[in-house]
Amino acid sequence: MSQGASPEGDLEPVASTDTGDNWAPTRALGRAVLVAGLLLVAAVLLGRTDLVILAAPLALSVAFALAKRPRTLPGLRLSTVESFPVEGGDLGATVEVENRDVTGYDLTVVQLQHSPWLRLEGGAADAGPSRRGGNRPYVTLVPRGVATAVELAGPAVRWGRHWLGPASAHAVAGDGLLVSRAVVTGALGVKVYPLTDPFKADEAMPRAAGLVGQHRSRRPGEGGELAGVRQFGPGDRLRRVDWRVSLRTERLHVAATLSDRDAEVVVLLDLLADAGRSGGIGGASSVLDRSVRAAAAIAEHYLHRGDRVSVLEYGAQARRLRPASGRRQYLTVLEWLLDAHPSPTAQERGGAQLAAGISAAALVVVLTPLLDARSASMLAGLARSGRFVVAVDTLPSDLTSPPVNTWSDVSYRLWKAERENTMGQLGEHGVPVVAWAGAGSLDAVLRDVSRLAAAPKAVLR
Amino acid sequence: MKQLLTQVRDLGRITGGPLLVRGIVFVAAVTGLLLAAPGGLPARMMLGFLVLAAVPAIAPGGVAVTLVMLATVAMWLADTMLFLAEPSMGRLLGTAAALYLLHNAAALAAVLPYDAIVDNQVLLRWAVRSALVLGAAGGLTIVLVTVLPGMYITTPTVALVVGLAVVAAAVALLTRLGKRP
Repeated sequence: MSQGASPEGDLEPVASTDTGDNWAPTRALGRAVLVAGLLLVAAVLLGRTDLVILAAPLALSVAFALAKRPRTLPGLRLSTVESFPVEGGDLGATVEVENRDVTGYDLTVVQLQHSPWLRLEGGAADAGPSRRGGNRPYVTLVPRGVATAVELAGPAVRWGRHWLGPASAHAVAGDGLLVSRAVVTGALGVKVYPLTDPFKADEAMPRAAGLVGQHRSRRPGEGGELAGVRQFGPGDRLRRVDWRVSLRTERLHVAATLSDRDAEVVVLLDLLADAGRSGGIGGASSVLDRSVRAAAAIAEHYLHRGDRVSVLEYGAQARRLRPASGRRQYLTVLEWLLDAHPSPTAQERGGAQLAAGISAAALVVVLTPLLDARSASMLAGLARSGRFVVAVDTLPSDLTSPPVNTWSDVSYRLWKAERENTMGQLGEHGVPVVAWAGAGSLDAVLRDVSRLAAAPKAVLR
Repeated sequence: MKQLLTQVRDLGRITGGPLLVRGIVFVAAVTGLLLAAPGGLPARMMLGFLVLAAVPAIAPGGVAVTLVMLATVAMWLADTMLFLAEPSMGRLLGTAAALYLLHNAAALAAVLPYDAIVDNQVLLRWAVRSALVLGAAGGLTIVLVTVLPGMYITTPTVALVVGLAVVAAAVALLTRLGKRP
């Protein structure tokens, strides 16, 4: 038991009303009065002392228990201590029950509803590990004038916007003869950000666009990446002179470098369909889980390198996050991803329409399970519009089809073959499809895209 | 079938505190029935007592508790009035304590969810208060035994009426204690 928690995210305590119906007698009170009364009546009618002795503890207990009757309801407050947890990170919640009455409560039953993705466990603060358990009522003693805190802690196992609460409590007084009305708090919203899969891409961006950044561009200029050695010309800086080559050739030579530029990365989430069952951070991943975690990882990687990242949604909502760079954009992307839900729609924009809103120099990373035929069309449309497109396959590899009849297995294999065929066709259209595998997933593909970008290209206008 | 499976799964969630209190309900019910029952009952009857005592332990919030308490009192009356047994003071006090514990433990068990994590202090406070009531009742018993002439008192009609009035007043007082705002 701990007294007086004052964490962040306070919710207003529910005000106790001082009306007479706050406390109701339980069936035990009626039982005690009935049995004691019958025994005493029988004792008088039959002239039996033994029946008085049988009734005595019952009558005394009622008188003793109800000598002081509680009047007000317990105060209840729900709060959380963790503001920005990441998947798998620990979250803490405190439910505080306060007794503002003239008499102590026998016990208070506290229950906290919460999202199944929050694995909160706990009990009274001094409870040992053997007495902890998930999603159970907690029964605690609340003496007069004291606030008792029930502290719960546990991991948030999946990203998203989760609910914590409402918490409810009812008190019992008078040796179980009186029970209070339930006091209920509101619910708190808890944001759990996706855990970014480790991702690292060393390859050059296909076409860096801005003035500053960390990518070597395809253009010569001031930078750190060596492009070659050439003869000294007007405007060349003296510190660029390569003395070793100059001495050997007896002519001044300078080391030419490629300019450092930033780039725009567009992460496009295909939310037309979802598949698989989400098992949280340690379990199986659904398409949506993989898409969101991969998007977070890609955004983190490129934003960390100083690039501009925007996020688009290919689905009914068609949400769009403007391109920006920096730490703030990373947090905005994470916030944006929390609202990603599968949103099937009958009419969806084609690749050419999408491309109209995407910078010509941007690298478009499309996270798609390729479950909908329109996704493949969209990818082909983007590529035809001259965008550098990389498709990341987010369909879980361990996904199996539930056996419905004898043809299920055959149809599933046919569907897989057709899907692989589509991926092959996309590759022929210049859209490499790579399965998401975390670190280094996109390196080989980005190398190919960079090579394609350097080559002359016919673009449909 | 699905509901049954859910109930079986729920059994696995039961925790120590509520189980202990329900165990006390069962033991108190069995003890009360055995103490109140007339001697020489067949063994099958004893088995019936065990089954009967299990009902309030399973459903402490139901009417089963009242029925078992009334059954205990009925057997006590039957033993003393039909079989004309003369119970010892120990048996009388034991039955009274068992009746009270059955009622009090059932009252606690009824408000404890079966899967709740219970603070030890709750059970400790309950035990202390029960002991206090039993101690006070024991003291009252000694006073009654000392003051009153015996177990059976032949009362005149006036005393009967006065006694009934006193009982009615006591019951009214207890009821009012529970219902006052």
